[in-house]
Amino acid sequence: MIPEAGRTKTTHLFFGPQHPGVTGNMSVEMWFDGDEITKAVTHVGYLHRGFEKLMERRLWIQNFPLVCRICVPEPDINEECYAMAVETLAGITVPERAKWIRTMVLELARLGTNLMVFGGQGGTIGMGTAAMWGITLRDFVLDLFEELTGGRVYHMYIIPGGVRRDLPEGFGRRMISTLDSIAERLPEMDRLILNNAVFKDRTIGVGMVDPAWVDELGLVGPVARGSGSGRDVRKDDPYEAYAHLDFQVIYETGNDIYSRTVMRRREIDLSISLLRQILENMPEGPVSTRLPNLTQWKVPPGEVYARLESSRGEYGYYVVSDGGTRPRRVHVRGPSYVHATALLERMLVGANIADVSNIMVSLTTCPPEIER
Amino acid sequence: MADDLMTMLRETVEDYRVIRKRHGYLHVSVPRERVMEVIVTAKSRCGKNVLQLISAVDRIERDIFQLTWILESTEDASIFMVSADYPREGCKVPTLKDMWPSAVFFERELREMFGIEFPGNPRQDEDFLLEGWEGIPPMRRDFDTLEYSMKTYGERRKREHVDPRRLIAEHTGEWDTPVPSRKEKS
Repeated sequence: MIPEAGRTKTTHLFFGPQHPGVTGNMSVEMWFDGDEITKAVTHVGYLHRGFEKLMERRLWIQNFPLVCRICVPEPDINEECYAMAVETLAGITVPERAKWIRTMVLELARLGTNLMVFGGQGGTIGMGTAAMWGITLRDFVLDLFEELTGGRVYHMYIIPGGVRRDLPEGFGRRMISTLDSIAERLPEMDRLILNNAVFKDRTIGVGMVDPAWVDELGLVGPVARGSGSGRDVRKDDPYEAYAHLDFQVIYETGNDIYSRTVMRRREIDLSISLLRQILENMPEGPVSTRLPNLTQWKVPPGEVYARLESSRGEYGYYVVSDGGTRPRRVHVRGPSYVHATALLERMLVGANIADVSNIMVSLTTCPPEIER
Repeated sequence: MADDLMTMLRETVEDYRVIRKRHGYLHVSVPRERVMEVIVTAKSRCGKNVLQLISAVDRIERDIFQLTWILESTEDASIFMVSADYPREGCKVPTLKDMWPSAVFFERELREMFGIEFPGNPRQDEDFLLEGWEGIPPMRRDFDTLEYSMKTYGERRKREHVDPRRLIAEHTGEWDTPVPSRKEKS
């Protein structure tokens, strides 16, 4: 970097991998002129657990408890994406009720994640209360998951051909009650975060994502929709029961962190509305299809790319089978792959050091999606 | 949009092979000499303006790497996948960094995990996930995970087992808390 006239010194700083402001274990190497970033380079590799290599050595069914570990806050998208790919390759038909239950699980997971990120966005600029409230509301959702699947964080509920078991007796009633209590508390969070003068000062006009970058870099999800894009796989290529649900794609046009936060807040409302619709319209019937002997299960040869909309954007699995008992190749394409590398390196140039974690949370960068 | 793609493919390459086709989804395999032409034309003529993924499959039994580019259209969200086979030894693939800046990172990963070179990618030799990796790239099929693990971490130490009855016996001087075996229980 060539220093400006009168400035002769730049500061070189590593941000992360152990830092409360970094979303997960990744680091950003930055060069500063004063407190303004002149160059940023993303470093990943602190979390590499070799998921994709492991999957090539395990039976098709053994990968189900594995894939969910790729994403901690929202593990169900991995189960669903892998199941969709395997079902396409093996020609398995999923019963109608199982599709609705899966949609419910995906929306519950999205709700939980968005509650955490919505609160966490306030947390990055010192509003600890907002972060705690977000985590608390998410915990109500985790209670539902615990009842439904037995696990709070990793659920291993979606399996090829359906889901593991039907809804427990009275689950719908308890879910509605939880949704009501979350909806009741949301206005308080709005007052705390979105209507807060400090939050507006720190987020409006900060962390700008140029709408032209959406196509150029392949941005997806709330990051793209916060910049005026209308991309949403739930609408563009409906999977499971989304084709039967009534909703509009939400987008904002502010391009900044505030827009993305408002996007997430509106996504919370949308998830609650979709969950209510799902409960009202869920058909009766079986929840899974009989599968072949799982230890001998050979999936016919083929290749497929399965995708869905996660809370961070389009999530895809490229799965290749050579007709054996194990996958030949599984490639996970998470939205953070581009958001945390190409986009972050570009966005941070010109930003202030105090805004780095604010920007990273607004992108919900998730390192395990990059490393797998 | 897929029909437009089929027209484009017929005009651009003669010997393409359809791997999977459904509404809004087309996966084809083309000769490697024509793959860049197909990608450029798909972007300019057919509106496939987003690069979603570059992936590789090690087909070691045929001594090739199968590379797959996944493109998407923002207009109708349709998917277009193009695959091409490259020889495993000295595999060199043209970079797409000038068309999509995000390709730099996909290519860096493939360079590291499969040893595929992307001449023209300015950051292809930068470490991505692995620091100072030596030897066979880990995602290749001939990479022996067990051998690597034994060489790097050594034999796993056997778990030490302490029988609580022994502790009691040492303390009291006699085996006064017999635990019935499973056979006795039944």
